[in-house]
Amino acid sequence: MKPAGGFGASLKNDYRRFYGTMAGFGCHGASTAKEDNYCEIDPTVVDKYGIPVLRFRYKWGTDDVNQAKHMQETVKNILHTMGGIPLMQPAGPENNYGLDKPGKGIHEVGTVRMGDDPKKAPLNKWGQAHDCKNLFVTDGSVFTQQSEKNPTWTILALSMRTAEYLIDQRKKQNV
Amino acid sequence: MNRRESLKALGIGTLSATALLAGCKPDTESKSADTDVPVPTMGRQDNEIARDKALLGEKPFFDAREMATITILADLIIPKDAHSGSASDAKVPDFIEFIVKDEPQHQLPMKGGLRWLDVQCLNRYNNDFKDCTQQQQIELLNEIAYPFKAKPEMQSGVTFFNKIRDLTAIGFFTSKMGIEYLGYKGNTPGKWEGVPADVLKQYGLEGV
Repeated sequence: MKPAGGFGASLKNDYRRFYGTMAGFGCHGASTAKEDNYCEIDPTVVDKYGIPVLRFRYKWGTDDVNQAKHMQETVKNILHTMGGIPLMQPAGPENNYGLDKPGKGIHEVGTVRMGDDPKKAPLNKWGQAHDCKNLFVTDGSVFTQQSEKNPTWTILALSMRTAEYLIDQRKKQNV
Repeated sequence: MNRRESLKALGIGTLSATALLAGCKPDTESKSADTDVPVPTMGRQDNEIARDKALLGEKPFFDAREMATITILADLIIPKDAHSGSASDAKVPDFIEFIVKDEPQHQLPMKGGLRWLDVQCLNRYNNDFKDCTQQQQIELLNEIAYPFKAKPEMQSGVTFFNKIRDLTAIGFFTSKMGIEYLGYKGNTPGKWEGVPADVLKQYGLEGV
């Protein structure tokens, strides 16, 4: 095998020979929602418009870490079965199997979640505020759990559901 | 630097030669950078466009001797061969001049590395790198181009050569020439040349 590095015709040829021969895997997972992962208004920091920013408290749970471990093992198997040569060592338990910092790959959902218990959730299961019957929320903030997928279709589906409920309630003169 | 940025940078890098030449005439430099040099505007914020223009209006970062050395190094790294031109044919030195302004973290390592190279050559061959024979230049590169084989006292050279090799490759392989050399087709647009000749013939419409 050639030593790493080099220059000249040989290096140029290697660039072309190995172009397109590398593959990378990126895995997405759903982080299990937990009550002690939350955001709140930061009392000390504002953005460039002078509006206070959000600050987050977020820690990975065991399920999240195990998911990443499973991903590493799956990717390793795929690579092996394809006859690939690993160019990197897989991440191990010392850095949560390569899990990014929370917030590195996100969709902004949640915070005004749905739930039966008014003490724990501002909205009921229809996206209607528990304490204000004429207030409905129809965007990503009603989520109770984010999946590993993009949220748009779920937002649309929930909005449609809320709209139908709203029409029904209107007909019954409840709102 | 991600791929999109490097492509963007190259587009500007190839144009920067014009700006730099214009810079020789005292009054036209800032004017040409502000008004005449086209910068990509599609999908870009005003502050990004202004930044590109400002970078192109700056004075050259490398002096003539440094640019000559960069050009020699770039061509030693990616020479002309049967399939394509060399790094300097693809305007890699202009790209490097641009990228050190776009990403200033390269500035000190590049200046220092070029100086390190010249000091080595002065001690060994009594000449700047650019004035050494190609054999002498290659002799020195052999000691810094293989990170796992290089002697500990050559580590500064290894660090510099890793950087200039990376920048040369980024510059070359984001140029039209480099992309063609790789055989990368990407989303090449189709070329519509009208109804095919055999179909026209079938319907007796050749002359229409």
